[in-house]
Amino acid sequence: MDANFWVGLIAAMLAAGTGLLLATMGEIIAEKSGILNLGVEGMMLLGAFCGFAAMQATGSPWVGALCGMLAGGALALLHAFITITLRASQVVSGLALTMLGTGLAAVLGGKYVGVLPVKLFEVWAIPGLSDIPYIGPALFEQKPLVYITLLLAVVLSIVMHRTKLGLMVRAAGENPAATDAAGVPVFTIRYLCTVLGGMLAGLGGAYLTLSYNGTWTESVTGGQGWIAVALVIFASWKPLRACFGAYLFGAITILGYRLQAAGINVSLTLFQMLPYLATIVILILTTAQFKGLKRFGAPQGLGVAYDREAR
Amino acid sequence: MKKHSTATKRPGLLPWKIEMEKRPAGSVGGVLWARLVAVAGLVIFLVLFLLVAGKGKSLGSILEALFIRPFFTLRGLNNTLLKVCPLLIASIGVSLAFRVKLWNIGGEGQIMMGAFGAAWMALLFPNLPAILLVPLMFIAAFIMGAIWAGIAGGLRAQWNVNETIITLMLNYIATEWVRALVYGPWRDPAAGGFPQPKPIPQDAWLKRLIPGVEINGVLILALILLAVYGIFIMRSRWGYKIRVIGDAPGAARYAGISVKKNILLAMLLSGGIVGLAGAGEVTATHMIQVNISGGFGFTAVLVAWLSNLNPLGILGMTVLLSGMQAGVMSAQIYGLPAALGQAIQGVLLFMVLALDYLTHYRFRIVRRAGKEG
Repeated sequence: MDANFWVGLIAAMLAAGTGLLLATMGEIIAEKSGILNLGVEGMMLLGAFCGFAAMQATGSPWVGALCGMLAGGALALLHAFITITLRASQVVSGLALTMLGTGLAAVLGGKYVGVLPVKLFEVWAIPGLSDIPYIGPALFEQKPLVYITLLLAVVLSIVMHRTKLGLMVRAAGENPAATDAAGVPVFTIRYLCTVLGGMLAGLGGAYLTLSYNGTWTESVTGGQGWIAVALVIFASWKPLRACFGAYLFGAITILGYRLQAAGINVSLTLFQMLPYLATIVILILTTAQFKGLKRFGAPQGLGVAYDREAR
Repeated sequence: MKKHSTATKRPGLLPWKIEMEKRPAGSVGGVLWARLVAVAGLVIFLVLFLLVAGKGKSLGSILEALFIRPFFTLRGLNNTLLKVCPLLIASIGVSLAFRVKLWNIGGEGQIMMGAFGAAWMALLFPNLPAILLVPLMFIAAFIMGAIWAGIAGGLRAQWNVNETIITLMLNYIATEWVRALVYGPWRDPAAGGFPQPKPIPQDAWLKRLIPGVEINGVLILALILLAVYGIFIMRSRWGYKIRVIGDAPGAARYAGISVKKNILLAMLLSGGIVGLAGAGEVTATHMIQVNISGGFGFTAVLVAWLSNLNPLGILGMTVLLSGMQAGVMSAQIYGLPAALGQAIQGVLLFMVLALDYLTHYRFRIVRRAGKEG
């Protein structure tokens, strides 16, 4: 394993973790406002399909990405209506969303399985920066959504923790009654955050079909939507920690193939299981109250519908 | 989107707004109205969908394949019953965990591991007489399923780790495990280049007890399990205990019930029962395959939730959803994809969620105050 192996690994890691990072950020936004959405997998899959289909129709991956976002947002709007306005169980609605999204994507996408894409996102080498030895090829020869996602994570982190808007979102998730009493529109904020979260999940799915995998299959996400839900806990609801988690998962996902290609004999089965095993380990580490490990709590109002009449 | 608009001071765009108010207690009309909305919504979704997806084909024959064939023809009914077997068993298992308010959504993985246990025994002792082998397969399936759910149960009991995500992650791990076996050591050398797993001994194949009708051993096992579940949960001390743990863990602890022990026990039993469905599928399909869980683990969650964990409700919902799945399968010849079943289930779930709300609240259109004068 020489330097090129590591350069290649880092570049591939960023690409492999981007879809997951988008979905995780989406779920962070929704959960910060108090809405648990377990439908990430469904939103990602529908976004992945709609993105691919729109790209096939228009020949533009950008239009595809936009349509993927809209599809994810539409599903999330349904979840928002059911859980915010009708105050139904967020867990059940999320599971229903996964079923609906997975089912719809598979039903509508039957014709697109194995179809060659018209046009995918291409690599944007950043002039100047990509010429730096080692660092350039590792970081600055990526496809556009990879940069955009990283940028989004920084922006989200700033908005969430440094602006009034972020404070309102966090307040709506921590104590909706007090927030409402202070004159902040809790319902509107929860709606917007849930839909925005769905749009990011849809974009994450579209990233897989339009940029990373480049094809559509019914299981293109491979459970990344569920890993995203777990990653939110790992990231303790912080966007920048989510970057770390998502890229770590990206690395785990590709390490098996890379090691085999480098001539090291490893069990591919074990490596296929690793992301899921890692999720379990991380979940244990972050929820169990081990001594000396700092614990970060979930938003106080997470998963509970806000009922103004019951205030 | 109009919400509880009582506090909205700004004049709206429209001269009227939608308000929601609580229904008077025990208003029967509300319940009926809500059910009607739910059923209508589902039918509209289906018809719209069929118009788009099945265009060019006769709508009547598609509807006939979806709704009439699975229940009112012998062949269709047999197909429905074949799906009832695994779904009923899995639903009983999942419902047991729900009693303790544990979300066991890892039914897929537990079925898979149960199937692994059953197939392992069958391939290990191919010369054993069926009377010994079949019970051995089901016992192994129970143990494997129990271990798989027990991992999540133990973590939940010990460290309060979210069982929803753990059971789900275990699904994917089980899939990879079975995939490795099926494409590796258990690949059938007799199948030529075709990647197909070794079949189990013919004596252990699932047989019909009555010629022509799909009444088989697994179905009878499922019905016995349902009866035991009903008696155990509704009438036994343990059933009462786990109900208290689910509803009020604080009170349970105060009453001296060991919450940790019972959470683990409930998950072990839940997973074990679900695992039996995997053994049933191995005897029915004669081998273990990567897709052997067939979505039954997820549908079981739906059944458990829709039936409110009531034994008769579980039976009714299982038959209904199995019929729907068999219907979707028979409608595949008209070009309807198999995944339609999942989409319908999602819509159904949303309809019921909305229905729950509409039984307690009603919408009213009222004029806005500022615009009347």
